[in-house]
Amino acid sequence: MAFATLPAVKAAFAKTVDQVAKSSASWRTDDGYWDQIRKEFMLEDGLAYLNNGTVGPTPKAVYENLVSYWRLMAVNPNENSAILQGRMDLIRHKAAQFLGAYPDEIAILHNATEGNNLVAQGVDLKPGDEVLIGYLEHDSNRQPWRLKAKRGGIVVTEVPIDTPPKSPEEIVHAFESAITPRTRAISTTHCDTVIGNYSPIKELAQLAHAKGLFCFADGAQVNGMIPVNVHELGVDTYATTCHKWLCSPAGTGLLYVRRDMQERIWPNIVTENWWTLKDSRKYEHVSRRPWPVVAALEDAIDFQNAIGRERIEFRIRSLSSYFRSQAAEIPHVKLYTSNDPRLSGALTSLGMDNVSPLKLREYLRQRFDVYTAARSRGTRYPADPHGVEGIRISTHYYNTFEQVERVLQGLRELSSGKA
Amino acid sequence: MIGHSGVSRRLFLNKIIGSSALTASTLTEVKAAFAKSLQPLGDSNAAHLGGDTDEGYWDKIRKQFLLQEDLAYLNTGTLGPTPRVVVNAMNEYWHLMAVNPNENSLVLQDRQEQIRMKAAAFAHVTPDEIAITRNTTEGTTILTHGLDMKPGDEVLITQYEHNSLRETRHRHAKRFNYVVNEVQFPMPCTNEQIVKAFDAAITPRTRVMHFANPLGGYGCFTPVKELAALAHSKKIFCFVDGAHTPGMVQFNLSDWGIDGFACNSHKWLCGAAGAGLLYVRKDIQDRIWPNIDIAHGDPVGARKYDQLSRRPWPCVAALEDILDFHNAIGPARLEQRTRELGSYLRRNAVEIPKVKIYTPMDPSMSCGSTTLGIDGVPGMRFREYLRQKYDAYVPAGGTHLRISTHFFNTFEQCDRVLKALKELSSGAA
Repeated sequence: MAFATLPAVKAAFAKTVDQVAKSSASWRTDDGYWDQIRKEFMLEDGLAYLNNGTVGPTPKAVYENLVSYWRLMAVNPNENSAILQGRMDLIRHKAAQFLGAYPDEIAILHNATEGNNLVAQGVDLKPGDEVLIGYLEHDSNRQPWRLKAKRGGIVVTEVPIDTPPKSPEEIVHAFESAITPRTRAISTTHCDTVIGNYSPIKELAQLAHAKGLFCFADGAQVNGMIPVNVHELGVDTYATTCHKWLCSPAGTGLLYVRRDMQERIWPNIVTENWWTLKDSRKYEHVSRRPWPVVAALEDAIDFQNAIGRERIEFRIRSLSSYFRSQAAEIPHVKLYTSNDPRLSGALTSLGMDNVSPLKLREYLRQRFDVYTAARSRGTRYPADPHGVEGIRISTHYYNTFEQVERVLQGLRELSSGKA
Repeated sequence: MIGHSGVSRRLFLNKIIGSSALTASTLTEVKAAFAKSLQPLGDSNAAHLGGDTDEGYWDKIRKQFLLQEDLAYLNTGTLGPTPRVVVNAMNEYWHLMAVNPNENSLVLQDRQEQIRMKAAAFAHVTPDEIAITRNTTEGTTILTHGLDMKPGDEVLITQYEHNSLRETRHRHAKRFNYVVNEVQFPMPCTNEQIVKAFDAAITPRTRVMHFANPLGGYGCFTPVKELAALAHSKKIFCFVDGAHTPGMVQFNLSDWGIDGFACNSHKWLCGAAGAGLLYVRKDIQDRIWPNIDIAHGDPVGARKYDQLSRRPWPCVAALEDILDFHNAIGPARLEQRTRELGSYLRRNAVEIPKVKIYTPMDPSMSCGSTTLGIDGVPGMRFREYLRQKYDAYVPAGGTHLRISTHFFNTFEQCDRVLKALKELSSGAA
């Protein structure tokens, strides 16, 4: 049986990427360009997959590379694994460029949870020291601090924020009011997982630094959705995942640790010779891992860069703001996500006062072949005082206006009682 | 919470209307095909059982792998090859994820408890004591970071530990101000020497003994039961680095009597890179904190150690397949085969002038891993000679090299190594 070498795999992939990059005058609509892009995915025909906020689909070209990499590993395990591992610094360069960091500030991890935990476990805090997190923090950035509180005696305070907040300033003000003389860090989400609200991370970082605090950000919902520049944000660390909006295979994430923070954050899982690595590589030296998955991260980055990030942002904003503006007109629908572009991106959270979240979700699933995420009150975010309950709709660039219309139709039917 | 319906309606629909050009198999179909392909491995024909010949049964087993034609891959100790059926099943899982990311991811995630049960049975412990980690280093890190240490406490490791364990221990000791002492004994050695060395190194401040079994660089098994008994007689925790254990030999962690054990599945078990196991004895779980946490609530037992959030679920699902693959062949048959190959290599190599074997010849202390060197010949030269002249792959080393002979390797491949040793030893090379 013959197997493609890595250069052969990469050459075939480059052709697909060229196709994807071809610009078209009509790329702002569903016609032409976006139809073509949609065909680059393996998603089941008919399925409106609107849950990219949990896990994204891998494009066909990236999936095919991944399969080739796994075969290479089975054919000649160590030598081919070494070839894949040899791409690591190149991938770090691409990832750094993607996030606006220096390569020596980027670690390639498994997911955002690993990054958030690494920061929480890695920073030395004393009993009584206080960390501020937001009300709608994902467990990924809540439980690591709670664990440190239980074990190390720090105090974790959840800062109340409206759902949705009226303005970015309101969020900054909420954090500012919560700071006490014992506060050491603000650790919060850049875009939360519940209502998809964007936080003014740059202003929060400025606030934190003005008061001598660390600012750690959780960007799980941002990377690949809208362009991020961590240097511009000015945060100390930024943890994110690549298998949501970047559509990389499950199992890759990135952690940014600012150069002058690296002395203050211990590595977590690291194998031999970690101490010879003086920069962010010490955080990712995690011993044997699924290298094909890591290698496919490079392909996922190439794929998105080929489409163009400005184009992606325009597309997802077109889809989501259209959806929000239409949904807002439907009786019984309550939008939890602001349509202010400073506060929103591709996620939309809504509920209906006459239909339970699970019924809403199943109606869309069964009748319109639409997959969304449902959320019931209080099960996961006990501190959430606003009782967000309903469904979350993720509209990524491969989704279509026709799919958005299906959701709207479902909402109208349920709203009018016709369902 | 972000809920889901629990059943993949798409999979069901897919079967009825055959919706896509890229029609995916369901997990059930993938599993059924996989089980069928394992059936021939269970051959119990007495004539085929011997580990002492390449013919018949083992020839058939070798063909289960995708390894390059003619390559003598003798480095399972770093990374094992994954059998074709497992690679194919895993790629089907990746396909499922691309076709319907969330629902199919959930279908795979739902196998987790089943995998935990199989892994627990494989290690002879209870499922509540098993966490599904990513590799040995992660497990070792949990055992190291997870136990609260006081300044001045002492931990004993051996001078032969993998640097992953050594450096993790030293780093943790530096951060929390405790002491790591390395127990010394010669190599090769006897069981008695190892026990004596540990006994002599224990002080009233010793809190943990943490060592590999086998010691990976030398393929040397330790008297783990005696060491565990010694540790417990002095109220010391006993943790084992098992990176080279599963898949090479049969093992029973309950019988060993240790407190913690970390291993991978990509070496001797031949699983896809990226899944490992951690055992934490029930009685001490309240003493060992998790390392990575996302759990809302309190996961039962050792599950608190594998709350890792989104991970490459296809790799985790493939862990079940590789356990099934091993069980189909039979761990006893596998160990016998691996042992026959290893001892064949050692007993012939020891006859060659200038060849020194660092792995104990005692069959109770060795199996599929053999570390040896040739006086006056640098390891790198030996390695390149094997690679270029005999198409044999072994890892780099200094004065000596580690040769892994696993069940898919052959006596003919061992002979290639022996020929190279003779040629280099006699100066004919």
